[in-house]
Amino acid sequence: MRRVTFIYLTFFLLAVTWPGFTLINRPTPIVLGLPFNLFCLAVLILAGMGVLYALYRSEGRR
Amino acid sequence: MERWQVIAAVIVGYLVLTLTIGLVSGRGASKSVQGYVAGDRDFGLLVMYFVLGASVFSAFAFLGGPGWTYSRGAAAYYILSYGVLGMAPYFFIGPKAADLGRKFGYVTQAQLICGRFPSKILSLIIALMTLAAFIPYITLQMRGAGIVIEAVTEGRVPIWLGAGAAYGVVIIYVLFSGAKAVGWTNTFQGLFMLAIAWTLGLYLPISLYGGVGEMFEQILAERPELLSAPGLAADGSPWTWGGYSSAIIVSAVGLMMWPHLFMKAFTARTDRTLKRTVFLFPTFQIFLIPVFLIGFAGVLYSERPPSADFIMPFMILNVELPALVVGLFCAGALSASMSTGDALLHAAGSVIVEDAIGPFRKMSDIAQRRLIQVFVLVFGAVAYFFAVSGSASLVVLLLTAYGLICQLAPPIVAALYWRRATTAGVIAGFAAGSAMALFFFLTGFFGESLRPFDLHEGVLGLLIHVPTLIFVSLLTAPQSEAHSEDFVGNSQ
Repeated sequence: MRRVTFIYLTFFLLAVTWPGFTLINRPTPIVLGLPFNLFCLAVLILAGMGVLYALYRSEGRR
Repeated sequence: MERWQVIAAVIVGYLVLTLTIGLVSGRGASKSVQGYVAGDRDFGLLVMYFVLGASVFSAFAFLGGPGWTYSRGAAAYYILSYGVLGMAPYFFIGPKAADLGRKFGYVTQAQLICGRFPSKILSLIIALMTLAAFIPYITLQMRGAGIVIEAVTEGRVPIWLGAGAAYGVVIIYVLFSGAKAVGWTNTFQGLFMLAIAWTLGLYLPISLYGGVGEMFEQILAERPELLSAPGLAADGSPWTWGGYSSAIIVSAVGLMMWPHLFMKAFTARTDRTLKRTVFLFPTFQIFLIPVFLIGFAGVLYSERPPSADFIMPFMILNVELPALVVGLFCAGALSASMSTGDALLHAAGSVIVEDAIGPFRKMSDIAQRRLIQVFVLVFGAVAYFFAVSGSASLVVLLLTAYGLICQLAPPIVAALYWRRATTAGVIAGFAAGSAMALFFFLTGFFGESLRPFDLHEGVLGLLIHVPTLIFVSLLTAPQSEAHSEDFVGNSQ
């Protein structure tokens, strides 16, 4: 799970900085009331939480 | 009762409640330094979660966040982008630091670094740097509290009185109850701010535009430049991708290196608590979204606040809310300011005594605790003086603080994970990185910016810091195996 976490965080870093973010950097369509880029950020953060939770489940109880 | 009196009464009620929680929470704490600085290493999940989360919701996020979306639009997205990245390493570093804390009795970050790399000078430098970053930070929190109170009471309670009352309460509970008070008041204040942020963040767009989506559609029609990253710079011109991206990196590296946050590793009851705090922390990033909506709601509003940072109290006062509700919102903003300010004051006193004075002079446990309390009072007074006199240059100090604070990351990582790192390497790297960051900051501040690609000076500092640390370490004699094994070699 450490590997998955590492890969996801690297992906996250690339996705939120230049040039990765330019791919999702559009205000439309407006999803759940939020501009598309802000909505994508929220999804990335929630997915990050999921990955960290999985990491915790796999080894946090030690 | 007049409107402002109702608002003032709500604020007084909130302050009394906070003070009570602060004083009651400290009753069970031991009188030792561990009790005062690290809460007897006995914080559970709820308190840890809010202690770390409340720091995200500082006056910067609560007042500055809406100010950013209001004036700079999508530039504020960077604030959402670094939380997960910055917190994740703490899943590993936190428990490891906590473990060493229990083993060697550490209560501060510099004690951990200088435990592995023994150097009194390094300890002193870290302590002074912490203080240089903290004083302007505390000042801004105090000023924020004073400004909010002055605004909602229509000037009847001036800044000096509002800031004095709010921080009088903070000083009393920090003095008497130490870390326990910081923990439990932050829990109360955290819950309070969350409720306020969500209510206001949804209420404003709905009442002014008919909905959150409708608000963004109107902004898109009139000010589309605000909805695409990297948004606008402070002067209203388009921000650069280099500036935006490196702000994310510096903040991610620096986030948990702020001494008042890192130290909290030593307050957790168990490793499990720390790890759960890490995976729950991103919820606070999500909670920032409604705070952003407050700022966006002001974009198309016909009247303008005196400055972007006032957008939140400005909107609250301009949408005709009942006095009781305004009072509660104001208390929410005070919560944001006080929950960060108390942790900073407490950490500033602790760091100066433990890291700047402790290595040079042996003191009894009781004398240390007393001296920390004296310094909490002194720093509170100094910050109050700056807050009331309104010295603008302090903002400048704070802007560069992140660049310096993130230079604490390489020494921490080296201390915990690299056997071959040496004291000389760490000092050389730290000095080179900080000097580099300061150079680019000062040249930019007094003359033309020399930063390539508009990169943050903290990133430029790290680019020199890490190679210097590695090279000088490899050139100097390795530490004894038993010593480095104590720090690097455990299961985490």
